[in-house]
Amino acid sequence: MSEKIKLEAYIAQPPTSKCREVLAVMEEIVRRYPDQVRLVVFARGMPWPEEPSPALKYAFHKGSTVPMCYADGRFIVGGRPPTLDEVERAVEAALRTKGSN
Amino acid sequence: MRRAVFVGVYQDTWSEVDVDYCRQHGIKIVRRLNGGGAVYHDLGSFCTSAFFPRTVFPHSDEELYRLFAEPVIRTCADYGVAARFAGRNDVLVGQRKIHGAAQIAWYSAFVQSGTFLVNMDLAAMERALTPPALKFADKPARSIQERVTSLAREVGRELDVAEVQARLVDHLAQLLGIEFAPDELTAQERALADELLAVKYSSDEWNLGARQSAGVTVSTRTPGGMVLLSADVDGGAIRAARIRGDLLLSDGTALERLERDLAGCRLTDAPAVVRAAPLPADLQEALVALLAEVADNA
Repeated sequence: MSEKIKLEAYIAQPPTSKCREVLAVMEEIVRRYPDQVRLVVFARGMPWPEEPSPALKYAFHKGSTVPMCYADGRFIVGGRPPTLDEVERAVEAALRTKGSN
Repeated sequence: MRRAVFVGVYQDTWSEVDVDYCRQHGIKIVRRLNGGGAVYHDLGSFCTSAFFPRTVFPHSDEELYRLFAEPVIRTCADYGVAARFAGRNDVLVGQRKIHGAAQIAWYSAFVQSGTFLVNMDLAAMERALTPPALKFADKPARSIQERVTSLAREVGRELDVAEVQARLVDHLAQLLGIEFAPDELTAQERALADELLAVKYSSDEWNLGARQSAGVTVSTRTPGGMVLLSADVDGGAIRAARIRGDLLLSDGTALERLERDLAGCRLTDAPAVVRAAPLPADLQEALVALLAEVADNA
């Protein structure tokens, strides 16, 4: 398995304008952190590209709102697109945690 | 005012165009058949397409770009504007693009197309082509108006588009040693065009496409720049792949062709497909590593 920080985005299908903003922000983070971050996008009602983190899986079962964003299995924001700062802070925190392990 | 955005055949419309803004302002979005970037059109710009059997010209594809740029450069000179051919397919004034071109090869047929910006509303172009989501990506973005210009802007006054068209046609005829004869589409051609419009070019499916909405995106650095791979994988096969990055490649369509080759390909076969693509070896290996990462987690 990859050692990269896993970003997860849960979006509507077809994506709303908010969901497209989520994708743009998350992809920008992947661009900024090559070799450190990977993005997995889950679309509502579509097959999972891979196993979601437990927290996101719980959100699926609860029927939570979209969009939702997670970094390394931790919730970042839901119901709105995140800002670049919010995702970057979450990624930095996850990288620090990984580094200290 | 009739306005439209023409999107390149391999582009993601949602990433290139503010679709909501265009819909609200009656700007049609149409995906064209050739590659290249999204272009905003109003009646201040015009397109040209030359259709011919490929054997008519002994030139390479790259040389054809240069050949068909020459009448544009001469037309600009008629208005006292110094334009030059640059890159693979652009005509620039200073550092700003005034004309772009694209090609399609279809068996023995060939189409050389171009877009000439004459009296463009560059502010409207900027508004239509800037996806809102990317506005807050705080990279050192430069505005479209800094990268694009129009003949009217360079001359400092509004121009008669029909006159510019006539000058371009004259220069092209002179350069190629040919004479143009105006004609209309036949009834059969018109019927075929209407049918294509109805079933393809007016459909959201063709024009907007389905943005890749589920899948994995990974990235890495290569000596040539950063590369991102997005893959939508289903049952061990790649349904769709997108490759982006800040790479400088001599073959501007190589990545697009590779994306098409990867679509429908099994993950186990994908490395061989990548290694067969006309790309630098370090980029090939980076893509193979990224595909392995996608496969590991699929």
